Amino acid sequence: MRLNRLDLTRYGKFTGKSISFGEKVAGKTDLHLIYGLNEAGKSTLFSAYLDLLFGIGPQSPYNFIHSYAAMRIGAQLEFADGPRDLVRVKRKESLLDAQERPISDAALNQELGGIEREAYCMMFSLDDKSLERGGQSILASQGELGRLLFSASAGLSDLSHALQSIRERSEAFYKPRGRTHQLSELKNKLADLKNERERLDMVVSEYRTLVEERDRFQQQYNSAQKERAAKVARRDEIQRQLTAFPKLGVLRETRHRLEALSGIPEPPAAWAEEFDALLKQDIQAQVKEEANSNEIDRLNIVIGGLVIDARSESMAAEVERLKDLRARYMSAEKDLPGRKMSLREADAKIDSIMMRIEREGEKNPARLILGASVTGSLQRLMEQWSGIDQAFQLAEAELCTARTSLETELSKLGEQDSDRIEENDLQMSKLEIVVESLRSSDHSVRERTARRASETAKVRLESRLKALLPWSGQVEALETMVGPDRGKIARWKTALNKAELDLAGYIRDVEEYSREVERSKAKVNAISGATGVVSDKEAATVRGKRERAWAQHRNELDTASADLFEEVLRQDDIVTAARISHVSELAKLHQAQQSLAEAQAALKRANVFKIEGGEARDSILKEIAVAISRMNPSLAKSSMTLSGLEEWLAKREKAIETQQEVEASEQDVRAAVEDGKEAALRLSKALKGSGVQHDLKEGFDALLAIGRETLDQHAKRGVIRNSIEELRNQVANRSRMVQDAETRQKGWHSSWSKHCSQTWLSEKGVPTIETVREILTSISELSTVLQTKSGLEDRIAKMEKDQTDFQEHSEMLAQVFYIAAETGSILERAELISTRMKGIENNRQRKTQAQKDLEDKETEKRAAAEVRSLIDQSKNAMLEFFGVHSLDDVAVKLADVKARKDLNQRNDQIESEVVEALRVEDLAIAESILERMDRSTLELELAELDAKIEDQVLLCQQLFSSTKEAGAKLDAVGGDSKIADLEEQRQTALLEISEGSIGYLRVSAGVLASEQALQIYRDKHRSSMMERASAAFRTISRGEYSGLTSQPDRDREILMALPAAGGSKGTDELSRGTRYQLYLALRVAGYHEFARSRSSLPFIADDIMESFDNFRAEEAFRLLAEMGEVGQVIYLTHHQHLCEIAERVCPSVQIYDLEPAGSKPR
Amino acid sequence: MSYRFVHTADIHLDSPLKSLALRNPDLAELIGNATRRAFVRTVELCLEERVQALLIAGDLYDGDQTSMKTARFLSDQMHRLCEAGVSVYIVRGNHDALSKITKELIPAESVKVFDGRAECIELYGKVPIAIHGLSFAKPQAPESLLGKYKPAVQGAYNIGIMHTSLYGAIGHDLYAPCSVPELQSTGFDYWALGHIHKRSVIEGKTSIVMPGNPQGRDINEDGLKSVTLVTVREDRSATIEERPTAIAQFERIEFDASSVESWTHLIDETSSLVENKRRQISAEHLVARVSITGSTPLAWRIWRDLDLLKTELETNSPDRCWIEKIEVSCSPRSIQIVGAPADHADPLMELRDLIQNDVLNSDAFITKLTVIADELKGHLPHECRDSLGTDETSAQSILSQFARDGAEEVLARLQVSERSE
Repeated sequence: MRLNRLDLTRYGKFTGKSISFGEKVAGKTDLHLIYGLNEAGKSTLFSAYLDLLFGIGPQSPYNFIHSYAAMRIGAQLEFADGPRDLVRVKRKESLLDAQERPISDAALNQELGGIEREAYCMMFSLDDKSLERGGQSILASQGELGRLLFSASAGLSDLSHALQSIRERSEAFYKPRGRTHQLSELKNKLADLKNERERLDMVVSEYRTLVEERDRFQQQYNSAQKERAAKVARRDEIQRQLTAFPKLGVLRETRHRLEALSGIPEPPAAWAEEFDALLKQDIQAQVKEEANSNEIDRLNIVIGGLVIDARSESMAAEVERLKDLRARYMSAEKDLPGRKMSLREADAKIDSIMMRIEREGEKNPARLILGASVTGSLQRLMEQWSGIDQAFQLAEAELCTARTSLETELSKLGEQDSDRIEENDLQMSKLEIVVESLRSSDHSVRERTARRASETAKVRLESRLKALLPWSGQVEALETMVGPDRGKIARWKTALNKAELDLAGYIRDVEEYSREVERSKAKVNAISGATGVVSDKEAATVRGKRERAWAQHRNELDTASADLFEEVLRQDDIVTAARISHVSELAKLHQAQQSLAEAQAALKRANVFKIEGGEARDSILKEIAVAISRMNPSLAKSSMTLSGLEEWLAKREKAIETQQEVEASEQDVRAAVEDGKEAALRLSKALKGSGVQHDLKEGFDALLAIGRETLDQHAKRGVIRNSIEELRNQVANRSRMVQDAETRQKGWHSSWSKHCSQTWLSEKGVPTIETVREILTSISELSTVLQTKSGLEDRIAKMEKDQTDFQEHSEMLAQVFYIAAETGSILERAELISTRMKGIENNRQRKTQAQKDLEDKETEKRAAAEVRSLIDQSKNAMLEFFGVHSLDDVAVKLADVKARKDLNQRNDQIESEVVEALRVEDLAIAESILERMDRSTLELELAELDAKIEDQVLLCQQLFSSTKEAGAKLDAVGGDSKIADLEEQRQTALLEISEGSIGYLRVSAGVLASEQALQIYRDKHRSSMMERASAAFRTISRGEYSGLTSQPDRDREILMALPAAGGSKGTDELSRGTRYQLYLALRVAGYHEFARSRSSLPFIADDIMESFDNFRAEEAFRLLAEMGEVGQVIYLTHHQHLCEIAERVCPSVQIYDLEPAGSKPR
Repeated sequence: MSYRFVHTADIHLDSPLKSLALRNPDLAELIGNATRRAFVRTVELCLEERVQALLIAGDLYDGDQTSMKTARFLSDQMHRLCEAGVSVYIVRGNHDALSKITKELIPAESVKVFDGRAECIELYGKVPIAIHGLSFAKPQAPESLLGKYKPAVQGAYNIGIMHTSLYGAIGHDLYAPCSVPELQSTGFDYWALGHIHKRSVIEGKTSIVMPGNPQGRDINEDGLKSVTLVTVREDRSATIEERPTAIAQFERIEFDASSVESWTHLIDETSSLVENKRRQISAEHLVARVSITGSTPLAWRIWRDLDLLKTELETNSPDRCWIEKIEVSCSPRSIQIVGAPADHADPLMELRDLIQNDVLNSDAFITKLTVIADELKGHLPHECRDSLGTDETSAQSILSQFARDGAEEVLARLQVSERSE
């Protein structure tokens, strides 16, 4: 298989890139060198090639520009049956043919001989790294020939190491004569598990022994326990019997004592308790009776001693009233002097008021108090007065002011006659109309503006005329000048433009066709000069020869003629074959020649058009020149172009326009001056009508000023006249107001006199407002003082009465209580009365209390008598029962009864104890048994039993613990899963051992088989490969080594290098660099070996000469060139100098630059 | 009032699980003692379902067991049943006969162990029941026991308990052979059998039930494992239900890798198979053996990275799902594509051909390999020696299979170690 072309349509950084390696040329070395700087995409290219062959991987890194869906690689591959265009995309059916139809990878696989991607990489590519590893692997293989040859063919650089590591992995499980490996660990584990099991487990036989032992102990324990129980029972019996002996004695004693108490009757059971209570009640009742009668006597004495006076007792209310009177007496005694003083002060105050209102000696001051109606009227009048008075004053002042103002205005108007003024008004209004209409006249402004515009236009005209050079002269000449019109110029312009464009096109055509002719010529030459293309003529010649030879042979039919015919026939075959194989070239030649003829004809036509175009243009230019000179000769001289002319004509237009502007401005000036003169005349006429002196010559502006002044004076006089009229009206109004005020004053005065005369105020004539105001104030004060005075007088009278009442009442009571009048002051006597009254009340209370107590005691006395009778009843019952006389005797009897009862009880208890101890039915039997027993014999037996029982207890304890112990041992066996767990672990360990053994044996067998297969491989390929490798090694070592040989070493065969100087070297003796070279040589041999047996595949080397010097590189290229003779070799490099070396060593090498667009051979 | 009983057999109490998966101590903790735990489940099923009896048709123990701990455990479980009023009927199987602890077991009151003399126990409830049983004291029973059973009791629902290999089953010794028609001709209503570890049920006038063992112990005892719950109604009709008991279920999972494109793809596909299987089964734990077949470009990588594959599968697997082993029998794809073996352009393939055609059958190779194998064998515990062949012929055949696999593995490592870098 060969790579004819690689299309990197969309892949990695490439888009639409294509590298064509051309077709294989027989006899030429198929070596290609691709040059590109780092990052130019050399490795991308290699990867693309592999992806084309084997498909784009699922995680291709070359999708950074073109997405997976867009990625596309194409190629033309030379298969055994011819070239094939293929395309690879990234999808399910990824391989497409030239028509984009999906096809199977099978054909491609067939061509690759079933080699997969990785294998291809290893076998048909080489780079620095793999070269280095290869060198190292030679050392690792220890020169073992089979491995080396295989490594070289398969491209594996690490075979020995890989085999070694496989073996080591298997030896982790087991290694003959090894000590620490998994197998031994697992065996140890098994042993541990066994020990552990033995430690924990209980086997059946052991278990059985334990069960028997436990049962035996259990039995012994049971019998020992029984025996002990019997002894204990006997001991208890003897002990009971021994206790019964003393009890019998006690029983007999008790019976004797009971007999002595048998005569006493049995009282009711409750008496024992009731007796004590009765005794206590009897004594308590007696004590209480005595105390009660003593108290009754005492109370009767107290009541008899308390005597009360009835009259004094009836005075209680009076004594109570005396207390109240006394209090009033006391307060009057304290307040009276103060009140009397206040009364005197009030009198003095009244005197002083009388004096103030000039009424000293007034007998009845109360008379002077005025009624509210009078006082109110007077107050109202007094308030009205000030308003009335003030209004009058103001009216008078305003009248005076108005009169003064009127006089002033009248003097201003002077002596002018008002009638005349009336007449003037008409004229003045006429004047005003004229002045007003003329004031806005603009003639002077217009004049000024027009003059300025005229000046400016003149200046512009001058400059525009200058711009028309080389023409010079008057404006009028311009106006009369005849030139081409705008339409004409436009037509010229279009025509000229077209002519020039046409001409340029013709020129280009000529150039283009010239080139085309050249190209076609070259193509024709190239194709016709190419090798292998046999022309029709040559073919015919050979065919002729063949025919002739055939004819000859037919005639002669001998060996010589046959040979000749055969030779010629062969030649003809060759020529025919060549022609068939070059059919496409021949077709191309014919096509090229036809293109040449077409190009030449086109060139000729283009030249004719070019000349015609030039002439058309010139004729238009000439027409323009004639038109210009017709306008003015001076212009013709300046050889003006069409655009120049167009520009000049525009300037002329402008100059003419400017001249028109000058004339218009001058016309404006003249019109404005006329308007000014007419306005002055109108004004003068109006002034004259108003009688105003003026001179027409003063001009329009002065006349206008006079008119306006006249109108102002007239207006001012009108204002003053209006003012005088207004003031006269005011004077009349003010006079009326003064009269009204006077009338109101008189009314008030009469009212005032009337009100005063109704009171004592007028007694000394009508008083003034001020007098009345003062009197009213004093009178209001007087009424207050008079009130105070009457109150005081009333209070003093009441106090004096209180004092008298107290004295009278106390004297009356003193008589009742028999108190002498001379006994102390009146107050002390009153106190004494009060004390006496209290004493009487005290006695009354004490007597009442004593009588109540007496009644209570009588009641108690009656209740005690009842209790006494009940006690006596009970007491008598007991005395009678026992036949005694006192309660003390009763007590003795009762004590005897109790003692008898206790003895009976005790007797019963002992009896039952004895019966119980002897376990018999009744006491009689017990007594008869005890009488028969010997006490000391029993005591002896008891002592012996105690000792025996002690021994028996000990025995039981021992047996019990033995039984327990045996049971515990059985229980310890337990139902847990520990043993099962251990068994499971043992099983797993055994499985692990089996599994490991299988693994170990499998790998060992695999390694063994591989090694034996490698030997066979060696024998199969040695002869062909050794020869090739030897030659390659000689070449690459530049003759330092004459070649390679092999020699047996035990059961192996070792590769040896042969130095040129003689002798031989093992691979381990070679230098590192030499080992690389040896590896390279072996790989070259591997490639040849591959090519020997099947169609070769392209070999890709990626800059393997990084570390090579130029000589070494040269040799390396020589080897690659040799490989290029049997297959296609592509060398990728970024070293410029390697290109040169390659060209030197192998001139037919094709070099491609990866950088420029469209890689083609350099 | 119906009569209900649970029927089980082949409990092989305390016999260990055999799986490399137990190398993982976590798993060993989780599914260890599975036979015991499955038995506890059976007992609990009896209590929950309030059955009247538990029938054990032999092989309660596993052969030459000697630990009394097993007996104690069983005794405890029997007492639990006894307290709940559940009667237990046991016949001894061949393994029980081997076990020394059988005799030491003191059964609870409600436990009836049939001995070498056929017996029929009649129960007079609403549904009259007759339970027939017969044990054999020796590990071998080459002849049919059927003739020794008592005849069916008229009017009662007759249940026969027997340990039998029926007409023979793969992996089981012949034990008390008999055929289905022979069993049907007894007129019994229900034959509670034991011995074969795979469940089989024939329902009909005479229902014949082989319940299988309640817990699989290795990959050869894969699939659902259970006991049988039977309800006999007053009209003597019966319902037979299967009740799962296994703690861990063994399953084989096969995957054809022919269509996988990448390593990731392989992992994903295989993982999803495992996941599916996990979903299908009800046992708490799935112990799976994965085998990969087919021709694929990944074949050599699979050979080489088997450990990695297993780890990745385990990582991807759902909870309570364990990969005990991965078996590989795939080949590289190119072998299929290029026809004649001699035509390989790849020297590695050429080497493969050389191994297969010229090396593996050569005397030199076989001799050397036998030496290696014998050397190893000498160091193995005797329990493991059989895995390398029991006699010379089987040993040779095993070794040559090792060599074929081994060569593939070595080539895979050579191929992949460098070329895929």
